[in-house]
Amino acid sequence: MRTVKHWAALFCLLVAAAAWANEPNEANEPVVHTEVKRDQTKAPKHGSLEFLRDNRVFLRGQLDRLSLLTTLTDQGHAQLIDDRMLRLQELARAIAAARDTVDAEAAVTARRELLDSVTRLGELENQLVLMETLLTDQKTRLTVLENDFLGHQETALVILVRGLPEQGTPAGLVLTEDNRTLEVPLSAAALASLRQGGVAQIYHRFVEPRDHLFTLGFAGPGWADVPPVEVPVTADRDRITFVELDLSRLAPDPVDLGLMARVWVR
Amino acid sequence: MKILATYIAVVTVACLAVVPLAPAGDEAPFTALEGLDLAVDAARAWADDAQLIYLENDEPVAPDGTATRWGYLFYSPAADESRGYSLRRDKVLEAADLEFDFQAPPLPEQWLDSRTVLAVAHEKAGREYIEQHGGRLSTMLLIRGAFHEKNPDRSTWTVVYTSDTEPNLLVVVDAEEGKVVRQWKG
Repeated sequence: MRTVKHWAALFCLLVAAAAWANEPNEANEPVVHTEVKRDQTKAPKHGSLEFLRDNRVFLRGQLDRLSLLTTLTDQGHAQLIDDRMLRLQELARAIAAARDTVDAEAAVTARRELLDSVTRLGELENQLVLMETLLTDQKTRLTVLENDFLGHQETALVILVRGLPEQGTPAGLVLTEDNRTLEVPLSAAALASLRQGGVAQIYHRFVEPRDHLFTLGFAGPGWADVPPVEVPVTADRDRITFVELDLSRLAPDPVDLGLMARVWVR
Repeated sequence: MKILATYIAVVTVACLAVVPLAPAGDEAPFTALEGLDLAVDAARAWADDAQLIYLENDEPVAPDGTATRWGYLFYSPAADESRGYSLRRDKVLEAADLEFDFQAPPLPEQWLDSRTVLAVAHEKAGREYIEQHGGRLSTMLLIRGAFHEKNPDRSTWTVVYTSDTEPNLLVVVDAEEGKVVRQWKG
């Protein structure tokens, strides 16, 4: 029972931390910085598309002789008219015929009744239309969901952190891959969670199914000179790869980059 | 910079599939079409609107139209960028943005595989070129529009044979019908 409570508490902390970690990404657009540097492009380990590179002028020349014509074709479709609509017309005709056969007094009464009937039929029709609209909307939602699950790859990477260094706490974490940097400030609530054994999610995205090399840097007083740590991760295709980094053995002075990492795949 | 790898402890959960350091089938040859799904998966993680615009062999092509590595180039209209993926069987070996502009029309969803196309090109002219001039197959590339004179909307495989004594032989094969549409030396 105690174990269940313990895990429940951890789960709550994880959820809270995840919400906290996701908030800046969803709310803010990435900030683009442009810096001019000398070209230091590393030669790839394995040459790729060599023919294209060697003959790009020739190939471009061939393509320059083309023009692209893009056309847009939409699909229309005929809709069947609901039988109930036809029956309503028949009813209306019957009502009109009946009106001619009664006297004026009776006609007034009949008209009132007919009006009530038409009103009720109108209400019924409105309800049917509403139900059909709801059904159509639901089908659309299901189609969208199905397309989401069937049409898209599911290779994703989640990076979690747990624990805090004993001496000094970084104000934030900086996760970098290639030219993309993700800055994750550690708020008071997040720090409190981490101190109590909680887990914070700092990264959750779809990624290319390949070997990735992230660097984890630290921000805040006392942490500026601490070199970033390389975090190699292999993202398996159509899997969610979890990497949990334990920060508890980190130290800024003397520098100790003793990160512990767990990796698992689901 | 200290590498984290020394501290990594790998824990397996559920259907754990931690990638081994050197998978046995990593360098197994495969056809261009067999690598397409993985390439598309990788490209879609990069850009939702990624379109395959070009591919070629990154390692020598065997007589059966297979290679141990193929390169796939995708273009994203939204980002106006191109990104190439070099694949071994079931593994993305490298992914890199193309460092120069190259905009080719998107390839169709259906195209003939390298195995079929190479057999056609070989039968038409490749075998004779190799036998007479000590030539060899150097490149197979798939692109749309660039090499089909009569109908540039079609995609074509271009099979390039080289020899030390003769100009290169290029055999262009319609990628949908499998017919040789053009061949020349140059």
